Order: sequence, then structure tokens, then C-alpha cells
Amino acid sequence: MWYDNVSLTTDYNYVCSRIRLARNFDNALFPNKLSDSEAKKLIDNTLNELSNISTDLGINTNANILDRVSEIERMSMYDRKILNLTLAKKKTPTGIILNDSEDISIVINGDDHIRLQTFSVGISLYYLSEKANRIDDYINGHFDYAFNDKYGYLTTYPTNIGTGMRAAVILHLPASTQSKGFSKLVSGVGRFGVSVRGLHGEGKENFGALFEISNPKTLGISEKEIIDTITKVANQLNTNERKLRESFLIEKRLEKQDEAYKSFGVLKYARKLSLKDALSFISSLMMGSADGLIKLTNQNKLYSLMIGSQASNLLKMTGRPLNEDEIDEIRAEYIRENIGELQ
Amino acid sequence: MLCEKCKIREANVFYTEIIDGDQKNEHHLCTVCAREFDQYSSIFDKDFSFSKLLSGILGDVFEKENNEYKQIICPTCSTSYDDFIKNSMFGCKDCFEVFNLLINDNIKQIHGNDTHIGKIPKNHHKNDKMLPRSLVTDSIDTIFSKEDQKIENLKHRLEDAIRKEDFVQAALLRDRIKTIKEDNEDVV
Repeated sequence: MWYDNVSLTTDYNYVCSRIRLARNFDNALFPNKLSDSEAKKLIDNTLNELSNISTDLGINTNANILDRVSEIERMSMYDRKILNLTLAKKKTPTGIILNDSEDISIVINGDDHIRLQTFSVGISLYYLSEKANRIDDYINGHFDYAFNDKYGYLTTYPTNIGTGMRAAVILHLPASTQSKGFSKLVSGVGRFGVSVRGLHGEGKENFGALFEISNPKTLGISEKEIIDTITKVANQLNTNERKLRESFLIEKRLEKQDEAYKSFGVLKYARKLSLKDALSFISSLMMGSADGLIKLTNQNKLYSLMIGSQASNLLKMTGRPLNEDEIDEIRAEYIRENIGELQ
Repeated sequence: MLCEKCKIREANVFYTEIIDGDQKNEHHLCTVCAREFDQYSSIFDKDFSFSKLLSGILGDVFEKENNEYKQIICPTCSTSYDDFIKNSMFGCKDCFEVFNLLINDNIKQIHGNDTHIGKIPKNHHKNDKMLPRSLVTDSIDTIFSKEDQKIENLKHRLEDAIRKEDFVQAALLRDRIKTIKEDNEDVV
């Protein structure tokens, strides 16, 4: 998977990036107005037209219909950011094209006829946008898009019209979250037209210290401006984090090292772990390993361990319903097996 | 604690229902399932909070200004202005023309802007040159330019009618525009 190799350091706290484009076809009603049979037809047509996408674009893809995907797998896709919540729960026909490493996904007849996403580790919005553009142009070569000069790409939700683009970067900010000024910083970046949200809970309730920044506005701002802004704000948040971490390394070195080793100990030997605990300990370990305070054989897999710790993935792995205690037990087992060793 | 409904995700929404003052029902839900309860949907629906906000703003205008907006219905997908307010969803590309005058200011409030800049699809022709002139014969060309002018003229009258809140007239004009457009397509 594309997220299996996330490499963080004290001055590089960018976990991953994502570009999403929303498009609708020119000659069809939007998904919310299609009957099930119309939707099926649209999906079949689209998959048919795009059947050569693998060879034409040189990406190895698989097409599927979401009805045939189990609810647990769909929730797991939500945790992997391939589907949003609405789509994970959606009952009406939806198609999906995914490549092997899942860094390219095309959802057909979801909220819009086409929701195209590209993912990568680290911060690389320009690269992702080029990649998304190439696929977008390819699809556009087969279908005309709904577009007008005033409102740009016409999308189901008024909040996506214009470019239809959402650019997002996830940062790991464990030191910033502990600092007093963090909420101020978060509301401050809002003034630049950027939204910041905790990936697992907001404010003091946040665990995992992962934050996603993205553009809420899509109209009257070009793709390049969107990416420029998000990149700049991400750089700012990263710089802020770096400074705090550097001061930790001088003032609280032993304390931070101890925290990392203790977290490793818990993750390596615990027999039961709640999601909250798992994410918090992995986050502490991630920080320690990024700062060079602890060396692990699998240190680039800590982020994928966070994704794997989600209940949906554990349920998918075991393939049977689990109660809460069982999930915590399986989670601990999963982490023990995948966390690797000290180096 | 796991969500009582899906039994997959952790419950982080706890609420107690009190019916007739004494009967208590305790619920433990995850944010996903809590969304399905109507009264909480707006709180937990992060993806659409922006849209809901738009709904709120539009709804406000809707309540205050004119209930007759209710009569405006998109001829292509039959989304009514009322539906649009409720769901914040366009049903087709024509909705953007039908609701244009009503939503423009609000779109501006949401996005801080009301005109697209950025990427344009490869095969998109600007409205003022919808047909590549070189491809049509002179005679058809004349017909089209006449029809185009007619449509422009009718669109202006439609805007006037909406402004004057003469919705009967507006509906008639809307249908005439549609008929002319359809006829044009037949010719093509």
C-alpha cells in the first residue's frame, strides 16, 4: 500500500498528501437524481469506456461495484480515505476503480459522477495534482464534463463547484498539540482560507496527533493557488512543530526518550489495546523515532499501523463479528506482530 | 465501548432520551451511526457542514424574502428550490442556470467569489461561441444566430420576471427557452 512507507524526521512531519477532483458528466442527471437502474447503467457505461485505463495510463487497476463489497470492507476503505462516510454507507449503486497500491481511486456515481483521488506519502501536492490531471484529462477524453464559464466544474454540492478540487496534507504534530498556543494557531490559519481538523477527535480530545489541512473553498481560486496556499500553511505548521521538537530535544531529551521506549514496551507487549491507547502510544513512538531517540526495524510502518489498528481493518482480518473486548485483544495482537523490533 | 448500532466503531456519542418526563433510554453511538439520527446529523456530518451552512444561509433568505421561490423547479431534473434549500444538492447542470439568480450572492458568501478561474475541460466551448461557425452552413448559421439572440432576449425577460416576482410569466419564459434550445439540438 502507498502508506506503508512514511518516513518522518524532526524537521519533516508531513505524513501524506491527497488531491481530490469532483466531476460530473455533461449528459446525465447528477447521482442524487438517478434511479438505481439508471445509476447501474451509468456505472456500466463508465467502466466500459474506461476499461483500457490500466494500459493507457500505465497503472494497474481493478474495477468493482460497491454493492459487491462488504460493509466492513467499505468502512475499512473509509479509514483508508478512499471513501467518505456517505459513500461507505451508501446503498445505491456505486462503482470504484482502484490501483494495486491504492494511491489512485476513482469513485463512480458517488456524490458526483466522478470522484478522482490521488495519494502519496509526505508532502507532494504538485506531483499529485499533475497525476490527477492526467487521469482527469483521460476521463474527459471519453466523456464531456458538466461545466459552465461562471461556476466552473458543476458538482452536486455547491461547496465543490469551481475547480472541484480538494487538496489535503496530513501532518503529525505531537509537540504542537501539547503547546498552549495550538488552538490559536489553528484558528489563525483559518484566516488564510485553510481548514484544520484533527483526524481522530478535536482539541484536547485528540489522540494520535494527526491533523489534516485542506481548502474549504473551490470557486474563484485556481488549482495552483489552492495548492500553493495549502503547501505554505503546511510548511508553517511543520516549522512550528520542528522548533518545539528541537527545544524538547535539548530540554526534555530523557523524558521524550523514556516516553518513546515506554510506548514501544506497551505496544510490543500489551494484551489488550483500545483504539485511543493504540493511537496515542503509536504517536509517541512515531515522535521518538522521528527525533532519533529510538531506533526500530519498522519505523516507517508506524502510520500504516495506525490505519491497521482501526476496528474495520481488524474485523476484515478476522472475518467474523467481534465484541469490544475481542477487538481490543486482536488489536494488541496485530500491533505486536507488526511493530517490529528495536534496532 | 462499542457503538450499539453498528458494533464496529467506538461509541463516542452518548445521549439519554427522556420521554414524558420519566422514561429514560440511554444510547451509545459512534459518530457514523449518530449521523443517521436526524437531529444530530448536522452536528456530526463534517463533510457537509459547509453545505449545511449554505443551507442555513439560503434558508434564511428563503424564509424572509419570498415563499413564491418555492414555485421554481428545474425543468430538467425537477429539483425544486425548496429541495435545493433542504439538501444543498444540485440535481443536474441545468439547476445552475435555473437557480443562478437566487444563489449567486450566497455562493459568493460561501466561496468569497462567484466566478470560476482555473482548469477548463478540453472540449469546452465558451457560451458565446457554442457552435464552431466554420462547421455550419451560412443558412443554418443565420438561423442559429437568430435563435441565439432570441434566447438571450428571453433570458433577459426571464430575469426581469423573476426580479418582479412574476412567476407565472417566468415559468412561461423558461419553457419557451427550453423549447427553443431543444429545437436547436434537433437541428444539430
